[in-house]
Amino acid sequence: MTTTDATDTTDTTDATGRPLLDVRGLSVSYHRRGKGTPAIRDVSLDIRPGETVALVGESGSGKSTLGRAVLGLTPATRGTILFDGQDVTHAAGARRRELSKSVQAVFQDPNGSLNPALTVGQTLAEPLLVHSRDERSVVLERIREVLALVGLPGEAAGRYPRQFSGGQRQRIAIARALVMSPRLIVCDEPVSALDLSVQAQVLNLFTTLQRETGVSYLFISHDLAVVRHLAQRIVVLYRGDVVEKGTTEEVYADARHPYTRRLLAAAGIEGAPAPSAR
Amino acid sequence: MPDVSVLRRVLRRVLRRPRIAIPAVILLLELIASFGARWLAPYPPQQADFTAALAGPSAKHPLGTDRLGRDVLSRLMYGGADTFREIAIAVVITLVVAVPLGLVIGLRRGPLDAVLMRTADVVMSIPGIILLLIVLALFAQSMTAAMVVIGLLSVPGMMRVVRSATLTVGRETYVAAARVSGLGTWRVARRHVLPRITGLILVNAALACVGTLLIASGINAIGLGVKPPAPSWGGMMADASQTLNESVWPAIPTGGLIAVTAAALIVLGDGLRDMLAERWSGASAAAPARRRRASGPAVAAAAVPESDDAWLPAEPNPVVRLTGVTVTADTAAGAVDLISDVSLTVGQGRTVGLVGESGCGKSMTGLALLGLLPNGARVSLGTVEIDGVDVGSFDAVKWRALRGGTIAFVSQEPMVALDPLFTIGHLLREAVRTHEKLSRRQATLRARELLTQVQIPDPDRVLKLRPSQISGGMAQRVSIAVALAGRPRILVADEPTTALDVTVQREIVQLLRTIQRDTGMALLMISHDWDVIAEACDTALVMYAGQVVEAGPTDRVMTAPVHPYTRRLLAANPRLAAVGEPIPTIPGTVPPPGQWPVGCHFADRCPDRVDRCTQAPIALTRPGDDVVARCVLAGEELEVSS
Ligand SMILES: Nc1ncnc2c1ncn2[C@@H]1O[C@H](COP(=O)(O)OP(=O)(O)OP(=O)(O)O)[C@@H](O)[C@H]1O
Ligand code: SF4
Ligand SMILES: [Mg+2]
Repeated sequence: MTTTDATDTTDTTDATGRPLLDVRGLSVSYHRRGKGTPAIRDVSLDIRPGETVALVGESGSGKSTLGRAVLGLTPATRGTILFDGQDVTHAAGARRRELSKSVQAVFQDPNGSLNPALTVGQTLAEPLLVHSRDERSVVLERIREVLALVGLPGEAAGRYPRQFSGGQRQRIAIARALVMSPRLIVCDEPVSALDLSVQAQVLNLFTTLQRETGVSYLFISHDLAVVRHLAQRIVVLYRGDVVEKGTTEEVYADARHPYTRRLLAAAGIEGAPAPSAR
Repeated sequence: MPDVSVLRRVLRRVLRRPRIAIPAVILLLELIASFGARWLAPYPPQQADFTAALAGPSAKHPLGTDRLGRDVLSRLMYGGADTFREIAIAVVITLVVAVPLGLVIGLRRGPLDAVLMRTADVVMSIPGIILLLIVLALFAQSMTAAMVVIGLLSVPGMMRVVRSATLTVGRETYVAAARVSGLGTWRVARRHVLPRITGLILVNAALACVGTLLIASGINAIGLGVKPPAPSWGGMMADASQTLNESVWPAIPTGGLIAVTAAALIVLGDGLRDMLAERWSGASAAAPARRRRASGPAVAAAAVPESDDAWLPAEPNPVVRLTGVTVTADTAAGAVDLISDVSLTVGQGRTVGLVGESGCGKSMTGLALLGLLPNGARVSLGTVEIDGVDVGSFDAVKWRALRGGTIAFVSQEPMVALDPLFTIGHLLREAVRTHEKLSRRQATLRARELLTQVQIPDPDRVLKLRPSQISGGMAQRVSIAVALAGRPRILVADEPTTALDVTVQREIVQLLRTIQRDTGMALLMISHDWDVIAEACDTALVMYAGQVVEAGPTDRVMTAPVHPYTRRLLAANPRLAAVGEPIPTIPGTVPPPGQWPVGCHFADRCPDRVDRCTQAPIALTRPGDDVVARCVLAGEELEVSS
């Protein structure tokens, strides 16, 4: 069943136990002291280990805000964020650093997400420098590994971002997220700037990585055609509110909210038969 | 040993730039002369030669003498050491305090930011001169104490500069990414922010040096700092001014030295900033395309057969025509072709689409046509004609005139094209006025008209907004309006919808079509999205690894693709793929420029490959009326199927 009740917090949790990420009643306001309309209002969602939940909505609907709050980049005004049962809503300093081993991100903008003054190798080594005291050879080996995972040659490590095309840069950004073998990756529109063949490769890559490592994804997107390849559940945000929530099949077969229907139409899958679950 | 080679490399880089080398050499000589005065100066600073008071330059006294007959050159040299020490104390204190503070509050914001910014306001409102006088009185005319005060008084200004630059850099996605990687504020600041703003800090430090130089000279001139007869630049100025009606000479070398030092500092700061910026931003938007037919690319160009552009006349009234264009770039590995032998024509009122994977050279093709190739890249072979004129020999001025008017550009990132400081109305008026001589009122009318043309409801309201106050889709409409300001005959749209929502993407494509129908403009649409190509383009060109591999009417290309690459690219569409199975992909990656195979560029990834494919360059052929393809099998298959 899909629900349009934004305050619903009774998400089913996995029989095996608690969800990996549990967001409860989260509000974020960019204005000081919570004045003005919040960017997201009372949003609840959970992600189980090895699961992909898609957060769908138009630009400005608050998708990225939620992602940034989970990553600790934007402070929450109200509500709690639990990661693996721990309250991490206001985690900072050493705790946030510890958390960053398990929670990583891939952002949309392949041009801005790499520091132009660092080589690809330097960028990829960064999380390793923070978290471990590995030897140079180990670091280099890991960099080669993740570059191979995203389909780039090892020699890419020595080059600067400007020497890569947009699609290649996005793969580098994904490689950076993979370096620490995280348990949750917040993917904020990770493929919308990529061309179709790379989009397909990256989507397949996300699927393969999940199968192999059991990583969970919070997959933020505006494109339902892409989302259905990955997500088991979908949450639709509209102007900061959750307006629809359910398993992927439910949402595709029986979208309640007009905005969801508009998104389905734009994805060219209006009236398409519900895809079968994986 | 390695240090020496690094030093030599830096030195060589510096010496190649006169704007750094000249001021650096001047300042270096001044420093050597000042700190080595004891050994180098011709006379002790106090040695008076009463027979030669107020003399002009002579062999004995190259810079003349002052009213007591003391050698001006020697005194300047002895006074220099104090001057430079004073500058160093003040500026080092400013930098050491202000830069870390500015970085931290710029990245962290929060209460510390509020407190420090308010403190800065308070400090800046302290009357500096009065404070200096008090300190000098309290500390028995200690210049060191005065310089510490000046250094601290300059902290708020420098901190603000660093903070606001940090705020800007801090908004970059890669800073967010670094934080997500677990980097603390300080590490983010050092690795990601500081290198980006070092140039700015240098420029401001140079200004602070100049300020300190002038203040220190002033203090000494009114006799509050260095006590005469000890030499100081300021004291010498004061001295010279007393005897101005007898001889102007002594004021000239002293004043000149202060002026030259100040100018050298400023020029050096600017030069260093530019050098630092060049290190990582490889491209400059102003670089005109150059053509060097004679020298040719490093790759054996002669071996590449001339393309068959027999299909080109299919475009009526051509506005742009690229014929056999090869773009070559200088890289660390030598000259490398980025696109090779690309021919295309866009007729009036027509839309040609460029489609292909990332890195295939779609943007390079567009940039070659716009004269916007990055630094080091140039059209090395072939011709670019716009409205029948070969633009190969155009200089920057001619290109600018052309770009504003006849050709226009819409990029993927609308926000980048719109300056956040100005209102939409201002931006549009500016754009309009660079093309036509219009009064402010007329320009506003035209701006309004442009917004109406891009179908923005309520244009009067939007004219007053700033780019940050409008949505991405609206921003793309505005940037299209800016592009339309010069009534272009050809518009190059590089991924104009990629950054937008699916629901908005369609609208933008339809908008471009409508505008085109109304204005008869030619459109070159670069996209990786088959949906966009299908919706917008009359003709589709598929590019792979720098070459056009297939071309024809969009319908034909999409429904009956001939080239193996086109087929696989079409199949990789997530919209068409079945859920639960891997989406079909093309294994492998596009070979980068410089690593293209001899034969078919797609050979490594092509499942239909035969021996012939890898032996020699493959020519574009025209096996059917609507078919142009670069594949050895193209003709044969066509024969089979028809
Ligand atoms: N300044 C440069 N020097 C050397 N090589 C470059 C330079 N700029 C780009 N390249 C290379 O040129 C090739 C073509 O790049 P181009 O930007 O045209 O690709 P594209 O087809 O537009 O890709 P995308 O879809 O990602 O925008 C790429 O392999 C890129 O790495
Ligand atoms: S020329 Fe050969 S390798 Fe190239 S696309 Fe055609 S069949 Fe494939
Ligand atoms: Mg491009």
